[in-house]
This record gives sequence, C-alpha cells and structure tokens, in this order.
Amino acid sequence: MKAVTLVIALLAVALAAGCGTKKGFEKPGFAFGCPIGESKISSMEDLVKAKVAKEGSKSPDVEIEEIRCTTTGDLMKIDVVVHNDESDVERLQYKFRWIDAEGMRAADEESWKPLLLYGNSRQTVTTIAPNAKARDFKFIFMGQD
Amino acid sequence: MRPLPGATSLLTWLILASLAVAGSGCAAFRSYKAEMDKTIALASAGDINGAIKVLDSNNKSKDKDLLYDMEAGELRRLKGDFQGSQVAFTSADAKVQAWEEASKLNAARTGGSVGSYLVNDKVRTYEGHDYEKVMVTTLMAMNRMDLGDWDTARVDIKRTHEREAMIQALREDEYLKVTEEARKKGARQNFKELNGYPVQTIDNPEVNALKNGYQNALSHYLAGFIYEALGEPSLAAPGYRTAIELRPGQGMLEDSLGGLEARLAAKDEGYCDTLFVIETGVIPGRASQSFNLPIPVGPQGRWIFISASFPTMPAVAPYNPPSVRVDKDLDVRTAHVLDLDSMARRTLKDDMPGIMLRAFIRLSSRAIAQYQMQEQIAQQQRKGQDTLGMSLGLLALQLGGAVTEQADERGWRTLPAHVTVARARLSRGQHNIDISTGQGRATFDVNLAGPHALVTARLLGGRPFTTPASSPGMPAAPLPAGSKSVAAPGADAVQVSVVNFDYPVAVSTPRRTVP
Amino acid sequence: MTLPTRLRVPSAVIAAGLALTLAACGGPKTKYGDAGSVETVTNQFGSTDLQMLAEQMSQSMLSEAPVISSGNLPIVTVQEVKNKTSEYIDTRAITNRMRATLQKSRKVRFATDQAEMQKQIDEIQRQQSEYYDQNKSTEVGKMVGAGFRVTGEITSIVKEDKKIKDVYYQLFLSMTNIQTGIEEWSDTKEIRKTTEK
Repeated sequence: MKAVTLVIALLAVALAAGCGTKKGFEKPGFAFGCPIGESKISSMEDLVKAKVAKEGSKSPDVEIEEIRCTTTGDLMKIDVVVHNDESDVERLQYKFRWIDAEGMRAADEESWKPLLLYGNSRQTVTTIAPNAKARDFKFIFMGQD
Repeated sequence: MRPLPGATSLLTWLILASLAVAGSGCAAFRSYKAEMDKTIALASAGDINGAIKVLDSNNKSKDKDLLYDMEAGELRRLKGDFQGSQVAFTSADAKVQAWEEASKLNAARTGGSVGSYLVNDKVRTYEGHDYEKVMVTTLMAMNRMDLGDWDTARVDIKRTHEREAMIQALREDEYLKVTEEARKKGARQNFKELNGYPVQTIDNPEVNALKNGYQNALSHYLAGFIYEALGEPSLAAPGYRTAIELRPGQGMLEDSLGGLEARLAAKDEGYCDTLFVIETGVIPGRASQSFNLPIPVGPQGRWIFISASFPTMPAVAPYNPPSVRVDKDLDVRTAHVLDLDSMARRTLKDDMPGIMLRAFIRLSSRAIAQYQMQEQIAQQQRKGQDTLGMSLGLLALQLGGAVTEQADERGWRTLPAHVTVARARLSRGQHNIDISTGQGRATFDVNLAGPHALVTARLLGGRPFTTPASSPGMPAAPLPAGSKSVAAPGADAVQVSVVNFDYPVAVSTPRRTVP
Repeated sequence: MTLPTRLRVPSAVIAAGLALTLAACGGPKTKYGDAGSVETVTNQFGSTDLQMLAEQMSQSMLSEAPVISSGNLPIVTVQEVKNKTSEYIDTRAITNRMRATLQKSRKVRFATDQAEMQKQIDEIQRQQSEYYDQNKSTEVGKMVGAGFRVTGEITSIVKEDKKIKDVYYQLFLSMTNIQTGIEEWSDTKEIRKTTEK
C-alpha cells in the first residue's frame, strides 16, 4: 500500500510541475519564456501556432512540438522541437525571422538551413538572436526540393 | 519502269555523302596533322613568325575556330608576345565557355553533333579535348603572371579548377552512356579488337596510372604558388595537396606543402622564392590510320569488314630535365608535374569507344548497301546478266567511303609534352640558370626581385632563342645586356621568361614586416 | 511504285536535321535566385555550407563564449583558418561572414588582422606625409591591439564509390586570450552531404 501512495504522490507532484510549466507565465507578456506581447496564449499549441509559419508549396509532414525561450545576457535563445511522426525520412529547411520592439525587422533575412529528420524522430533546433534589438521571432520552415 | 535496285542504293549513298560534304565544307578533306607538322617544324627551328604565318595561311576564314585560337595563343606565348597570346586564349576561352554552358544544359549533346554519325568526326565542330580546356586557363594565368598581373592570374587559376570540377561531373556519367548505347547497338567498341591497332601506345602503365585525361597537377601547383604569393594559405594548401594527389611520390611537391606554414611565417631576409616551370617537347598528335571494322549485316548476321580510319598516336621518347643548375654549383631538383603526352593518349583511349561507336553507326548503312549490291551482282551473274553498271556502283561506293573516311586528327599540337617544376629560395639579383636539354645544356641569366618570382622556359627542338624577362607590377623587362642563352650545337631551343612577383615588396608583405 | 526500303536512310537524315534545329532553340536562361536558398548543385563546398557554418559558429560564440556574452565588448582579431581539405575553400569567406554577423550583434569589436595590416600601415603613413594637416592626421602608435584571437581549421573526409559520393566537413574554431593564452571558447560544426550518382 505504501508503494501505491508514493506513486500517487509522485504523480501529483509531476502533474503540478507539468501544469506549472504549462502555464509558465513567469512574466506578463511571455509564455514558455517566449515573448507573446498582448496576445492570449494559454498552451504550447497556441504558442506554436503564433510563432511558426510554413512557406512554399511543399509542406513537409512534420510537427513543431515545442518552442521554448530564454536569454543569455540580453540575447534571446530559442529551442524548437521538430517531430517527424511518419516512418519516412523528411528533409526540410528552416530559418528564423527576427523582429524588434517596434515590430520592424531586427536583422537581415537569414539563409535557409537544411535539416534531415529520420522517421519517427525528434530534433531540437537551437538558435540565438543576432542582436539585442530582436525582441520577437518567427520560425519559418518548408520542404526541401 | 522498274528502278534499278543498285542504282537506288547508289543514289541514296550519293545523296547522303553530298549532303554531309556540303554541310561540312572542306573540313572532311583537311589533314590537320600535315598542317601542324609544318608549323611545329618552323617553331622548333626558332622561326616562330614563320610558324604563325603558316598557321594563319591554313586558317583564312574570318571565323577562327578553337584550334586556331589555341595554337596561335601558344605560338605567340613562345615568341614572348604575352599580350597577343592572351587575346587568342581569351577567344579560345570564350568558345570553351560556350561549350560548358551547352553541356551543362544538355549532357547528351557533348557526344557531338548529329552530323558526325553520317559522315565523319572531322566535320564536327572542334570542342577541344578536356586537358586542352584546362590548359587554356592555366596558360592564361601564366601569361598574366608574365605580364605582372598576379591578381588577375588568381582569377584565371580559380577558373581553371572550377572548369576541372565541371568536366569531372560531366564525364562521370558520359562514359557509362556510351558503353550502354554501344551494347544496345551490338557495336564492337573496344579498340583492342581492331586488327593491328597499336594498342601499346594508348594502353600502357603511364597512361593507365592517370586518374583521368584532364586533371592537371601543374595548374594546381601553380594555384598553390599564386595563392601563397598573394598571402592566402587556406587556398594555397589545397593547390599543393591536389598536385601531390595527382603526381604522388615526388619530394619536391611534398616539401612545398609541408613548408607552407614556415615560409609564410618567415621574415623577409632578402630572398626570392623562385618557381621554375620548364616545358619540354611537343605533345603527340593523332594520326589517321586504316583498319577493318567488323559490322554485322544480312539476315544471317554475317560480319562484313569495312575499311575505316581511326586515330592512332605514335610513341615518343620523353625527356625531362632532372634538375635546374643555379650559378653553376646549386642543383635544384625538379618534379615532373604534367605529362601531357600521357594525358593525350589517355584522352584518345577514353575517346575510342565513342569514336568506334560513331564509326559503326556511320558505316552500317554503307555495309548494308555494299552487302546488298554484292548479293545482287552475284544473283545477276548467276542469271548471266550484265553486271558492269552494278560493279561500277559498288566501286563508287567503296571509293566514296575511302575519301570521306579519314580519322579526326585534330588536337592542340603546339602544347609541350611534359612540364617539370623546380623551386628554390635564391637571393635577389642576377643568377645564372643552366638546364640540361638532353642533348646539351641551355644557359641563361635571370634577374630576381621581390619575394616571389616565376621563371618559365620552353625547350623545343632546334636552335636556342630567348624572350625578355618580366615581373608582376613590373612586367616584361628585357634580360640584362650581355645575358644570352647558350646551347650546345643540336640542342633544344630555349624560350625563357622570368617573372618577379614584386608587389608585396612595395612595403613588403604584412606578415614579413609586422612583428 | 513502292518505295524501296533502302530509302529509309534519307528519312533518318531528315529526322536528324530536325533534331538539330530543335536543339538549337532552347538556349540558356538566367534568372535571379534567393541567395539564402539551400544549394545542392554539386557536393563540393557550396554557398549553403558557407552560410551554415558561419551562422552556427557566430551563434555559438555569442551564446557560449563568456567573454562575449558578459557584454564586455572584447576586442578580437581573426587569424587564418587553415584549410586542410583538397578543395579550394576560401576560409576567409567564412570568417568574414562571421565577423559581419558578430559586428552587428554589437557584442564584439574587431582589431585589424594580419591580412589588413599592410593597408592600415599604408594609410597611416600616407596621412603622416607633408600633404596632410598634421593636427587632424592619424597619429602613429594609437592602434588598439586585440585581447583575443580567433583561429581554426577546416577538414574534410571524402568517400566515393560507383554509386555514392559522401563528403563530410568539420570546421573547428577557437578563441584564445592573447595575454594569458587561455582558450576562452572553441567549437566544431559539421556538415555531411551525400550524392547518389
């Protein structure tokens, strides 16, 4: 019986912790560390929807699972988890677009970076803002031809 | 009225032949070998102007072809007319670039225009052998260096390795295509099956040791030297490295790569890093020779032997100077970086399957016509009919074939057969250079200035002659008075140019003066 | 009258002529492209490789090198990045791109490097000449030396058989404190490219 209570207790803690990160409103205007401005974002799905854009006609069969942000010094650092839930290999290309406090482009357009995802695999794409002016971003991806 | 069967096939053939000849002008009857043998004999005897005159008289048309541009460029270079040489090479280069564009667009087109399936390889537009395309920009780079413009030489040398990479990509699958097509058509495409073909001349260890017929260690070594002189070690290193990969086991090349860091770090102590480029001999030309090509005809698939001409290459004994003697007592060892002789043979060997396939297709219709006519003659003879007209037709057919069937002998003939390089750290100022020519010794003086210099010499059969020395930033200065080149009687002619790379010396290179 | 079968040959001539005419029609076309697009024309070192390596390296420096992320505006000089491949890779093109990215981040400043030194000296000496107003001219001995130097090398492994060509590139860079000789940051970035023939 003791073991069962322990499991329940652990589950409760895990759930609470999970909810904690899920809400993740450590500061107003931020979700999961990422800037969201005035928009209402209550879940990871909402955040992904707000920050990710598909371009081009070939859309690869992948899912953006998570986006998390933090800062190093005054530069924004971002992790994007890409998930390929099919068994086929997916080849995509991505880039980040940086936006400053006024909503203007904060840096030159990045070049496309190729990415290979094996079947049923996840990969974390990481990046750091090119300068301190960059206050917001978009993750852009498309299929490789 | 029933048409005479023999007459019809004769007519067909005449249409075909006249069509092809009309399309090609006189190209089908021109012997490039005969033309160039004369030109080279004059150049070897030291009469470069005479050689150019002969070349011009053989190319009177206003639109000069690639071959003319290449030969003219090299002859003018021999004369020391680097500016004029550059004009000719620039024109040649434009034609090679057009070929590059076209081949990138359609890899199949590189197999040659359709015309040659019908008559002869000779009527095809001359597109240049691959090693020639690489040599055009290599020599352009050397001309630029001779003119004192090492910065633009860098551009030419960069284009050389880009061109080489492009050719490599193109050739990789092309060979497979030809083999496949030959297999489908049932053609014999191995030159070893041509009775009496001098197999040894194009199938020997030297030829087979080459990775391919176009990669050129001289251009890569030169790239290393130019990039090093311009202070770009990250680009110099792959130049030396590729040269070593292409011509392995030569200490001189390995030292160039191994010592790169040390040379760049060294302080300027008044020395001149001198590169000697010594060109020897003349590249072998293709010579047309007749062989019997077996072609299957008739319902039983009988083999008919049709006389056809194929290019061959006579063997030539190589000569390379083992060392360069400086100031009578210092022997600088050489490295044999470029074996154009073997590259020409390798190119012929690689071309043979395609040449044989085209000959096979071209001659098949003639073989069929010949076979049918022979059959008819035999038939009519059996019936006791007159076969005179028919026999005349057969004769005309065979004669017509003999006239149009001359192998394509074209190729850049004024190129040297071999190139060796030597490198020495010499004090700036005047030096006496002495090179063994195989038959005697050729000596000349050079005046070295600046931290880098290029000295080129061409040993060409005949009597000696020299051209002015030159240097970057300070182009072609005449050799100091009193200096002349001397050779033993009967020795090779020597054409010399000296280039001193001087511009970093203006205030010396950064890494030399700045602690 | 029936056409003799042998006359088939001229029809081949006509067909061939037609093919030639058709082939002549399609000329090369030039268009402007996206300089940042993924380039896979050949498997030699290309524009995408250069962009990726430079971008990833500068990102790594911005986030992983404490002297930079602390916002102290360190002064850095870029030394030669050794090319250990057999390909003509201009490593200065990689470091130049990194320099431009880092410069714009306003986290790093760059001191004159070896390759630029001569031009720097030339200009100072020119301003020292009698033609210039000496009160407004640059003085000798005022250049600021770098506190850190960046250097590295690029290597490649190429494997090839009849069907596949595989190329692997690795760029290694490090940043060293010139005064102390302590390596403050280093990183490797790699690229693998495979071409099926």
